[in-house]
Formats: sequence, structure tokens, C-alpha cells
Amino acid sequence: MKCCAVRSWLLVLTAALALVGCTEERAVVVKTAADAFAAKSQGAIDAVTDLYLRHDLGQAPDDNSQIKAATKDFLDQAGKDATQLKLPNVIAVEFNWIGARERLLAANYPQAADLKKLYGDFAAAYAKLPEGSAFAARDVVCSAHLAALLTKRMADAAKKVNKTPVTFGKEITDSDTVIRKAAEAAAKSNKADDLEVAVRARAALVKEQAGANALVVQKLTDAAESGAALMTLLEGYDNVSLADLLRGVRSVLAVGVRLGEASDATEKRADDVLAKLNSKPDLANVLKLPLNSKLDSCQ
Amino acid sequence: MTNDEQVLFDTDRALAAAYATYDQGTAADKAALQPKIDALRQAWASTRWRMDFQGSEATDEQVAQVHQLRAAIEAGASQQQGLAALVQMAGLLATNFAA
Repeated sequence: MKCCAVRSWLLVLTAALALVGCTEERAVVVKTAADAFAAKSQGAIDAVTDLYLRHDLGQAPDDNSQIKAATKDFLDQAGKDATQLKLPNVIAVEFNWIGARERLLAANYPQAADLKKLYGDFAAAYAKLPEGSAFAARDVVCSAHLAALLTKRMADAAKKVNKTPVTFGKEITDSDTVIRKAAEAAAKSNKADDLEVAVRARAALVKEQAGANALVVQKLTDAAESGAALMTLLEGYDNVSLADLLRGVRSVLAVGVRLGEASDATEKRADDVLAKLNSKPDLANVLKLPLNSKLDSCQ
Repeated sequence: MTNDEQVLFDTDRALAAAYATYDQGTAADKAALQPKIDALRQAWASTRWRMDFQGSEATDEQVAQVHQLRAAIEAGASQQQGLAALVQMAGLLATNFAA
């Protein structure tokens, strides 16, 4: 992702923030809220990426299952020709999942790290404020525009994943193959035990898939709502009291993942965030911009 | 259906056709198909990731290309044209839809 222009803008913002005055307490409030928004957004990006990696590679095996598989490979090879046995190779084969995951992450999802950094940079622009640096009201309001852009990304992604959940592609395919084989065997042997086990496993997988998607949508929505609350805080920065700002930061922090919430209710929350963004005339052009755009109003 | 959704839908259907061919295929079919299916499945996923976050929309031309490749795969995933279409579709997703 080309986010250099936004980064340049962040540098301008950081420099501007150091020039003009405000109280340390107000600065701490803003920084806390921006940090919370960035952390939630980065967590949501990780959760989405993990979901896609699971689609690609399946469930990450735990150590026990890898040790069992390595032991089985060891015994299989020892049974064939013990003189040719190379233990380190056996272990390397079974313990390659982390390496495979990291390779796939770097090759297919390099934008994940870039996107996370963008959110981190946004929060970092406020980092020096509590140390006594200053904050210009104009810059705070201006930074709300960038917050809007970043918030919209979270709300849009929440709606997309909610509308079209990510499947556990590899595992579902593997499970279908197991069921097909079990069904063939059951037809021949007239015993359906293995088939039943396979069907139960498939049903459990689908249920787990739905739960994983719901959690990801929750995290994205949570991040979007935090962004919207942060925007409110930034927009009112010049006009409201410290007490009001503190109430504002509480609303950024208070949002959270709501386990068990119906998917349409979660989507409604994402819709509400987007409606709030779309209701602001000054954001009309900003929200159409890709993340690599310059925000002219902040130059 | 948006252009993005159309691309994902066609890719999904193409994958389903390839899987069906794989399941009923010979050992040689399976050996030829497996890496290509894996590559397309992974390209599909990374394309969707980018669409989720970047909000860029596929062009009409890209939609048409993917649709055409899907047809070739559905016509016979283990045939030469079908195998080539699998590779082309994965390549198209990996390059044309990259950020």
C-alpha cells in the first residue's frame, strides 16, 4: 500500500503539534484516545489476516500434534530403513507450519503490516503531547479528517466480512474429501460410524467458522466505533471543557467486543458509524480518498 | 453485485469446479491440479483481503477476464486449457488486483 503521502502528512502534523500550546491534561486525553483507536484497529487487522491465513493453510497445529506426527514419521522411516534415518529432517518437516505461515503472510499479505503501521503512525503523531509539547486546535480538527478515513476502513471491512464471511477453505475442502471417502466406505460396509464422525466434524468446523467470522466483524466494528468516538473528541477539542474531553475518551475506551451479538445488530453498528461519517459535509470529499492521498485541508 | 463481488464469485465458482474435478480425477490429474488449486485459493484470499480494506473496485475488463477464465475451468479443469486458466486466474488476482 502506498501510504507515503499520509505519512508525510503525519510528519507535518507532528511538527505542527509541537509549535502551538495547550494543556498537558488535554493532550494526554487525546493521546490516550488515539492510542486506543490504533491498538483496536491493529488488533482487528491481525484478526482479519489470521482468518485469511486459516483459509489458506488451515488450523495451526499445536505442539502436541506436531510431536505426534514427527514421532509417527520417525517410526515409519525407522521401519523402512533405520540406517537412512535423519531425525532433524523429520522434525523439520512436521514443524514447518510456522515457517509456512510466515512465508505466506509476507508473500500474500504484505499490506497488512503497512496498514497496521499507518494506524500506529496516526497515534504516534500525538505521542509527544503529554511531554509538554503543544497542540494547535486547527491541527486537532484537521487530524479528525485522517481519523475519519481510517475509521471508514474499519467500518467498510466489518460490513464486507459480515456480508461475505471468510471460509475455512482448506479445512472445509479436506473435510468434504473425508466425508466422501467415509460415505463410500459406509456404503460398502453398511457401517456408518466413521461417516457420522466425519459429518459431525464438518458441522463443528462450520460452526467454528461462523464464530471466528463473527468475532472478526466484532473487532472491526469495535475499532470503527472507537474511531468515530475519537473523531467526536477531536472535533470538539477547541470548544469543550477538559471534563467533556474526559467523557469523550471514556466513550473511545468503553466500546468493546460484544460476544454473542446477532450479526445484523453488529452490522447496524457499522452502518451507524458510516452514517455518522457521511453526515458530515466537510468529510464528503475526504472519505472518497484512498489512504495514499494528501489531505489538502491539513497542509 | 459489485465488480469486486463478481470477481470473487467467479473465482469461488472456478475453485469449486476445480475441486470437483480433483475429487473425481486420476492420480495424474490430482498431481497436476493440487498446486494450481492451492495457488488460486491463496490468490483469492489475498485479493479479498485487499478488497476488504482498500475499497478499490475491480474494472469491468477485469470482471470479464475472470469470468472468461472461470468458463474455461468449468469446461474442464484437468484439461490443458483448464489448467492454464487456473494459473492465469491466480496470476491475474495476484498482479492486477495488487495494491
